[in-house]
Amino acid sequence: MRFDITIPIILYLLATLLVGIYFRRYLKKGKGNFHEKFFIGGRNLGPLVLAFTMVASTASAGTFIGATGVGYEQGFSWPLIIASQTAMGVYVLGVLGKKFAIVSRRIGAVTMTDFLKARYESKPVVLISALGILVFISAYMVAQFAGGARILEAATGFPYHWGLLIFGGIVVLLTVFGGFRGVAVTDAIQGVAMLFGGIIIWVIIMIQTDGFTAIVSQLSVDHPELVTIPGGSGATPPLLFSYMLLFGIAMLGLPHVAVRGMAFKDSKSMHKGMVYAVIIMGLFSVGFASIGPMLRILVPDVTQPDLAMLLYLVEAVPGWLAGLIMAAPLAAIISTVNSMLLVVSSTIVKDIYMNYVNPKASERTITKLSYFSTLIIGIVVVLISITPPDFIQFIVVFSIGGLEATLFAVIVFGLYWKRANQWGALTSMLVGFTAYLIIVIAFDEMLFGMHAVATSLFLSVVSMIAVSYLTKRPNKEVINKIWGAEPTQQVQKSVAK
Amino acid sequence: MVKEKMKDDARFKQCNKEFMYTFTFFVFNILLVFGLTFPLGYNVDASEIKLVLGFPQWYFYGVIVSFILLSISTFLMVRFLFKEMSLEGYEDAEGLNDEI
Repeated sequence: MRFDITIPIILYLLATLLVGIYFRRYLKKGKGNFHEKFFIGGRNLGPLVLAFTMVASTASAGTFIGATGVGYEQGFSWPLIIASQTAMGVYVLGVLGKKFAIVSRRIGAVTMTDFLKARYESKPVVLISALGILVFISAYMVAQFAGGARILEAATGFPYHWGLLIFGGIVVLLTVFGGFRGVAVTDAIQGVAMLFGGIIIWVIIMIQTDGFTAIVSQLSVDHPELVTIPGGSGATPPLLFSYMLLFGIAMLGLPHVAVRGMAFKDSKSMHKGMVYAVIIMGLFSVGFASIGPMLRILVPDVTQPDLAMLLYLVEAVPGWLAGLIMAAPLAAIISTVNSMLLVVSSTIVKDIYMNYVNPKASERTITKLSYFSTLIIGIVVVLISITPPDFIQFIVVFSIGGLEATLFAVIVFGLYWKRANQWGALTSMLVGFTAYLIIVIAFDEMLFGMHAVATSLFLSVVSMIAVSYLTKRPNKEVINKIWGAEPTQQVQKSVAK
Repeated sequence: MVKEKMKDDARFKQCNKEFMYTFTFFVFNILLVFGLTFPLGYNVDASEIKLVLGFPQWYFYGVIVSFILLSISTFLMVRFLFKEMSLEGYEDAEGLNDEI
């Protein structure tokens, strides 16, 4: 085991845990329900924390490890695809926007499903969305934990299982103790760690080699398909377009991302948050993904491309520095998984328990249940991660696309189209999900030269519009609840007079 | 006042506009990246690809330059087209709170 690499990583993880625990005090003071504070931080995020938590909860092991690994194999065409995520923060905050923030304050929503419940008043819509979140997000978390433990193992020789337990334990405790506020603030710290990690790698490569030009010139001679497009990733215009959906605008269908659209303090925070989010996400994607193809020259013949960056670092710099830089991908994983853990436990506590099992639950019960469900889900996910999946990136792509195809249309049309009704919503979710599954399984994820998400999103949008028109319009109370200038009860009172 | 018509929250007019701006921005993002990337690099042989600051030319403009342009245009969009407003569930019930 390499203690010189291990010690900075462990110190970093412990520091994260301490920060998370520090924010526990925010759960106890101030006004508002416990679950509002625990699950969305009392809707009080400023711009910088908002941007970092938005970006960090999306940029995961995929961006840091998977992307360099795939770039190593496929060349610059892959970071071109990864760069589709640059403006995702603009789309999530701009499309959900103030409308989502206002409506969620009206109805006291703390999850995406809360909004769907209020908007469509349909049990099947709520259950499908809750089920989709549980299945897909849990799968995604498993991939992330496994990725984290693998990085630890590869970097330090720390045995996979022990790494998983320590890493997983820290993430779960951080989330349970810190709640959303703790998660968001540690996300911001992780984000800064990721930025520094990226910058240091660039500097190291520039110092240790004859510069990018020399590396890339050699690349275009030795491996020409790594510097061209379509190139190794087959980046044709239709494919790139579908990734603009997958990593760009359709991201707002991801529950752990969308919930951040309820969490900002005021409209100024949202505006600034959008600008910060593009800059941060762009730096992440360009900063890390561009390194992948160059590693092909710097460390040739790596059997596991995912580990190329790590192998390079261990060779190129002293152990403690390699350890500090490797904290960046671990930080990315922590900041993604902690957000997802909150979304899954809020689904269980708020969407299922408080909606259907025990609507009259006391504040005390909800508090306890929130802690314990977060803890138990965390433990279960860590246990499942003991058998690690092979290629992180593609599992990530699978669960992301599945959620987007299911939830994008219902949320956007629910917010902006009065005519959207429960039948349209239900059909669009089922069609989107089924189409995605069929394309992934039967067509190997590609149809018409595009990623599965494009066709399934199109079908789910079309069925939302068609079925909503064919069935009757939503009742006036729902419309007034979401769009009205005054609360419904007041309107009823004035009618009674 | 029996059949008083339910009025929409006035803030949502601006919300709808901002939704359209953001959607237009998405189209702009696609056109920008496609316009810089594909004309420079699509199906161009590796031996003919020029390097800019060490990156393939199409990558430098299509990814790195477009990132900078996207950041600037986000700032401009938010600065000039988006408006500040209260995010409270309901605006002042008396309609005194007219600023949007």
